[in-house]
Amino acid sequence: MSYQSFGFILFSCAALILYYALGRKAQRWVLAAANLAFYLIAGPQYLPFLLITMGTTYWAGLSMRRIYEQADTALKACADASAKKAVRAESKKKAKRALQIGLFVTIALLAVCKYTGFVTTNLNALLSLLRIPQVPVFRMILPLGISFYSFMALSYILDVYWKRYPAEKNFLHYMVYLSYFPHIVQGPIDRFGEFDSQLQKGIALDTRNLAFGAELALWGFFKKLVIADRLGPFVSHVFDHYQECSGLMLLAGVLVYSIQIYADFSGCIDIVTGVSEMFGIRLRKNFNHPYFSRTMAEFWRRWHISLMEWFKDYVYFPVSASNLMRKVKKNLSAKGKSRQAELFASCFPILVVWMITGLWHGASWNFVIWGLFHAALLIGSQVLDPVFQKINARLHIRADGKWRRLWQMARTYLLCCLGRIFFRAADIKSAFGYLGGILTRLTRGVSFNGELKTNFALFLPEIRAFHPTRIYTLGRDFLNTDTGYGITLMNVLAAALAVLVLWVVDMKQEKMPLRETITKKNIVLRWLILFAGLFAVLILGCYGPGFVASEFIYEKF
Amino acid sequence: MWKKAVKAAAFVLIFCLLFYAFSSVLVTTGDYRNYQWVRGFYAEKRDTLDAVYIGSSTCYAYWNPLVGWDDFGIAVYPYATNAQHFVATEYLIREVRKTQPNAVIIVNTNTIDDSRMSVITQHNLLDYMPFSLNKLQLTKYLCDTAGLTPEERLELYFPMYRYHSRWNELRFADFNYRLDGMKGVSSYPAYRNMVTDVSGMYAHDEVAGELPEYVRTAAESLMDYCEKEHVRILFVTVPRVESEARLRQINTLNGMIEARGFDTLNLIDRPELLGLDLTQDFYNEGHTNIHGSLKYTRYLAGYLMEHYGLTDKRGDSRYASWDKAFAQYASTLNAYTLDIERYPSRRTDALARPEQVTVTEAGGAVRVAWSPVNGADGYLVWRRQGEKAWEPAGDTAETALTDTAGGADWY
Repeated sequence: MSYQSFGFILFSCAALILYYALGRKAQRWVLAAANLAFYLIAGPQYLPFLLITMGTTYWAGLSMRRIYEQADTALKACADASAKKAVRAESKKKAKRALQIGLFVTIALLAVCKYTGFVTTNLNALLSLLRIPQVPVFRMILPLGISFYSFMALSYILDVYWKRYPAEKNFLHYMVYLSYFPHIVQGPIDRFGEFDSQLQKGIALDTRNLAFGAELALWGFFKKLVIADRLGPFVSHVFDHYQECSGLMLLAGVLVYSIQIYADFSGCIDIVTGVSEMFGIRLRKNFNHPYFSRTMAEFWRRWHISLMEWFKDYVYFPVSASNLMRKVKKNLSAKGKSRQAELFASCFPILVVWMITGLWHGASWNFVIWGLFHAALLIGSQVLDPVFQKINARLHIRADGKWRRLWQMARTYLLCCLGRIFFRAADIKSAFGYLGGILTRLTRGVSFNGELKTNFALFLPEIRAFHPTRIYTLGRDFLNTDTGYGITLMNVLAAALAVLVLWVVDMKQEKMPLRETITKKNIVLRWLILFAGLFAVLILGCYGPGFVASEFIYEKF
Repeated sequence: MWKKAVKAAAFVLIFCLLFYAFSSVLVTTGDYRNYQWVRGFYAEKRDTLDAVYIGSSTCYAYWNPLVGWDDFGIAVYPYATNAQHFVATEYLIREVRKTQPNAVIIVNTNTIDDSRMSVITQHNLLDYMPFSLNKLQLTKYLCDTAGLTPEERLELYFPMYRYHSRWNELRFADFNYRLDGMKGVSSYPAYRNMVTDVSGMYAHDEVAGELPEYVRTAAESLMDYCEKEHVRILFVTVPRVESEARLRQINTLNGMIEARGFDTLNLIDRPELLGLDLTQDFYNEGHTNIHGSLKYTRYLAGYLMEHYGLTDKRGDSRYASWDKAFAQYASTLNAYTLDIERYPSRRTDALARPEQVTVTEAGGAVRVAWSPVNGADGYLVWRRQGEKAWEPAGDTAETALTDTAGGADWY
């Protein structure tokens, strides 16, 4: 059941009615039932994987809790410091064992499901070089949302291990968190503590939650159905036929893809966040108008925030604080290379994070390169930062000047687009071919479908003659002609208008909480905006028979 | 709290109104005839129709409502859509009786196709029916019998699901589409112009065949309803070329109907009763053309007046719209039919047909000659080019005329 489907709307409405009708005590049960139903509808074959991860991490958390409680009791009985130290060390050791089991099972399941095909394919490539018989390529099914719920499960056991909060005793509570149907497929990657605390006292029916949630979901539908799915065929056409496209069209393809993926992913997140808000549960923020970022580091603080924060908390900091890092830093400092030690300390964790980020997005070398590209950008900006500072100072460029800000935003967007070529292309060869096409065929003219030219030739005289009826009829036929790139001019215009709306809304949201501001306006304006949104989605949305609904881009990660 | 409830209700109401307004523009009128047949029915004044004829093309290609009106003064409206299936009949009778409770119902029994109603043919019918519980029940029933997927069902319950994407292809006509007030009369090109000789294919059969179970169930349910509600109903089998299997199924269905004591009129066995010329009166094997349609209409109208007590309403001011519609349609009739076809009763006073008609061409001119007719003062010669309307070629007191205009294919 895709989040943009009519079925999902009905499903959510039914769950909402039960959720509030059966009272606060039954709310977790209703959510658990809804989660289970949602997952079973997606495919019962996925359920065992989810249950294994859920069961193992629940057990690991509970074991650690018991170990820590026993250690606390023992500590109270200890008289001297050395005994306390021994108790702490012992409990840490035992807890680590439980943690390791939890980590192993969760990561192993994720790795087996997601990377077996990738590993065996690459192993075969190596074996063929060494003239050794190949192994069979084995591809597992990819359980729905495994990348997301695995990371949520990992954050839970690591938080428990680090004593950020005690493990949950009640399996129902943990089950509701991990399998919560709005966030299981594409995130946001929530944290147990934040999530569960909202349900502690039950949630009262609040019309504001319902209205705000519905508004946010509507905005998400607008982004997904009106923008992303309208641009999808054009992007697919350009990436699938990159060898035949001119450089300009390839450039347009990747620029449009960047808009498509933003509208697609953030649209999905708005839908699920909105639906969750109707249940009175706030999900983590996942986007903060990323294309207004001035640096790549800022971009990644604004794009897929819950994933990047996860990496920061559970990979970047642990790697930075690891014994290995300490040793290397110490050795370098001892040799008088403090600058190198400092750089290594900040750059090595970035490299590790981005290697994993790349692989998390997909089992393919494309994603590895994409990850390394971003790692290189982030490391490069750190290394070269003093140089840029000096240049700016020499040239008396104001750090906060309007044009500088715009230039920085454009530069960040273009760099991001560059990485997206690897993100979207079918394989590495295509990605480099695409990139090469932009560089070598940039000045080549753009060719369009011949019919477009014919229809324009029919339309043009009517404009000159100013015959309104025929202008409308022939203009409509001209605009509805396929450009030869999987999209008609009419859809280009509709998409451009919708992107303009998106841009204005994002701009406004940068400055003010838009929903709250609209709520304060008079009812006529408020309803006008709401009805405009509703009917824009209903009429301009790409859905229904004759339209092949595309899945959410992040659904397959 | 009540304030919020009122606001919510107002919001929903406005949404529904806007949704209706957008739907009425975006939902395509598609095939012009379906819209006119279905919507046109609801535009008729309450309790004025003598009869409502439910069926598919076996209704609208046969029954000519305006000839029925002009010749007999009976108002019989065709509630028909393309490929409408017999199994929808019970729901349509319920629909008809909401506004025309005293109308005789005429139902075609030819429409028992083995294939269920497809999504498109369901759209033909359902898109133009006003919203009601009965419509929802019909939609569900047709979806169930056709075994449609949830997605396909969705577009039938909410046509906007399919038609919303028409926003970029709207025509001016979509904004001001109107009923034409022509009482559902047919005048499409094939009906007007085409002739197919079906004499070699035409057959009938006395043997009963196996009726699909869902048709049998629907027929029993329909008859239960008619019995309970005392519906005056006539089941008609129109003359057309049917396969052997279909003929046998129709026999079974007619047998079931007669066994329950309902009226049937099986004309497939007796095309000569109508005076049908199998070589001239069909536009294809399944449908009569305008000429065949006139014969069928006259026969059925007479039958209805005789057996169901329908009376002549001509001159009644409540039926002025029927007169107006006929006045518009008269030009079509005049162009595509002969006077003698329209008014066969005048035939007794009419002159004999000219015999030994010869047509010869010489030097670009065409000479038409014939034997003299007793009592004729002179002769009118008509010419016709291709599918265009007949036009006078000239008049003469002689028994020959030379047409120098050229280009005519028929005299």
